[in-house]
Formats: sequence, C-alpha cells, structure tokens
Amino acid sequence: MLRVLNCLKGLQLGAEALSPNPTLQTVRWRRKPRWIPKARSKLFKIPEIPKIPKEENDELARLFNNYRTQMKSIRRHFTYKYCTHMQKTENLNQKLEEEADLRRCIELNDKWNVEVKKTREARIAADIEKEVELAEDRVLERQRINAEKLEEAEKLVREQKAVAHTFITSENIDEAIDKAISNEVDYNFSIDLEGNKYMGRTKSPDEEKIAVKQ
Amino acid sequence: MITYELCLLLRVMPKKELAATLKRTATAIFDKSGFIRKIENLGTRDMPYKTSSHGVVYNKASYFLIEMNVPPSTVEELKEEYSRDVDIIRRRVYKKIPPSEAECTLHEEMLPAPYRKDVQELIASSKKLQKPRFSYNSGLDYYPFQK
Repeated sequence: MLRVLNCLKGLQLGAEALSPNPTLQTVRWRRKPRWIPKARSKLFKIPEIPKIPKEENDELARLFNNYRTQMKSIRRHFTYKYCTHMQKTENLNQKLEEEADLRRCIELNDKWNVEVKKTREARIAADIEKEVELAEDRVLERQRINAEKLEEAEKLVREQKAVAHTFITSENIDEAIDKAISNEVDYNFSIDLEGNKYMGRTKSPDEEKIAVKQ
Repeated sequence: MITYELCLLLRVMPKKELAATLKRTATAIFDKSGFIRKIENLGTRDMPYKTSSHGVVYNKASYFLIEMNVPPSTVEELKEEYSRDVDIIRRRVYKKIPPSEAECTLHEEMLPAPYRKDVQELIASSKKLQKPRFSYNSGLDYYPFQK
C-alpha cells in the first residue's frame, strides 16, 4: 500500500484521489537503500551536535518522567475498570447456559469418538488381515523359488555326475592328446540354395560346384 | 562351476613335441585342481596376420581348443604361466556360453510383406492413429465441413 501511495505521490496525486476514506493518510517513506554510499556533496559534512543547556535538559527529563508516570497510571486505571465491568455483567443464567452447551458438546464429541473408534478398529483389523495374507503369500513364493533353485542345482549336479566319466584327468590325458592330434575338427561349413550343409573348410559338394567359403 | 574355453595358438611342431606341449598345458590345469572336458584340434593353418611372440615372428600356427573347469581365481595364474611358454604363440580364455535355442522362422520371414505377422501388427497400430474421417454414404448430399 505504501509503495502504491508513493507512486501516486510521484504522479502528484494525493491519497484522496485513490479513496475517499478520510482516515487514510499518506506516509512519507523514502530512504536511500543501505548499499548506496554517502552523497559526494555531503561527504565531508560533519553534522552539528545540538547543544542543550543542562537546566533545560533536566527540565525536559522531569516533564517526560511526569508524563510517563501519569500515562501509566491512567492505563492501569482503565484496565482495572474494564475488568471489574466485565465481572459484574456476567450473569448466572448465561453461565449455566454455557456450561450446558459445553456438556452437550462433550457428549456429542464422545459419541463421534465411539463411532470413529469402531470404524478405525475395523479398518485396522482388515489391514492387518490383508498384510498377513500378503506376507504368507510372499513366504510361499519364496519357498517355491528356493525349491526351484535347489531343484535346478540338483539337476545340474545330476547331469554333471552322469557325464563325469568323460572328463579328462591326469590319468587319461595322454590318450586324449593323441586322439585330439590325430582327429582334426572343422566347424566351417557351406550351404547351397536348397539349404544343404557341406561341412568342412575346403570341401565342395561335387567337383563342378565350388563351395562358398564361410 | 564355470566352464572356460582355452584357445591356444601353438608353434608348428612335430607331433611328439606338440603332444609334450599339450601335456604341459594340461598338467598346469590339473595342478590348479581343475579338469578338462574336451581337447580339440582345429588344424594347422596360416594366421590372419603375422604374429610375433617371444622374439620370433610366426605366420602359421596349430589351433587348439581346450574346454576346462578351473577355480576362477586361478585363471589369471594359468594365463600368466602360458604366457611364459615359448611354444604358445597366443592364448585366450573365454567363459563358455551354452548355445542359445533359437527357432527357425525363415519360412515366416520369406512370406510376402502383407502376410507377415509383424507387418500386420504395424498396419494395425498405424490404423489406430488415424483420425476419424467423414464417410460420403451417410445420407448427406453435401460435405458438412470446410474444404
């Protein structure tokens, strides 16, 4: 609001132009921002300290002390008066009514609480039941997976045991090496348009045809 | 238990020396408490490019494949041991991958485009994206929209 008013002031318009409210008053609020340095023309200006004579200063202090004391006493007086007035005007009927209303409110609140408690307990029980069910499902699933894994591992072991007699160890290594050296293996093959496979790197299906080298 | 494939390129040697080298190679595996599943001789052939090893340049090599099981921690030691063997030109250890079971779908792929399943799916998905259009046999004798 203040900023708006300042803008209006810049436009040489009063607050009256904005609103007909007579209580509205423009506030003079313009200050240099903190980061702007002292003006160059005022750089070496030393403001004069006002010299107030001692007697005058004492007099001013006395007057202001008096003023403060009197204001305090008036404020206390008004507070006291207000409190006593409030206590006097409170009548019995109203008090009773208020108490009855409070009791009714508490009763209603208790009733609601009972209802809410019932639904809450039902909900929590259902939630727990659901969670227990889920957990049981998870346990079963985990058991199934574990059993499957075990079965797989056992299958692997069985398979390996079955082929274990073909493994080459230090006893039959010489035979295996001799066999390997004498039997050359060739995985290369060629195919013709009919999809026939001709194994071997340089083999041709017959003398006329030349096998495609892979 | 991991099955490894050891590919060896051996110097071209007489049969006796070749057997001795292979024996040496195999013994190293057995010493590392491993065993061999298979030894294959892939023949003596020209190498794709000349290869130097232990200060000698080779153009030909005997290719061997050894399928073995060794503790994985000893694979590096084995490789290091073979690298010191002057009869071995190149050595490489791979993990054996079981062959994938792929079904042959060539007869489906050879069909004309509109009969192929993936093409049909594509057409169906593109039809879904098409905007609804005005049909001219709807009883109106004029086109109701801006042309």
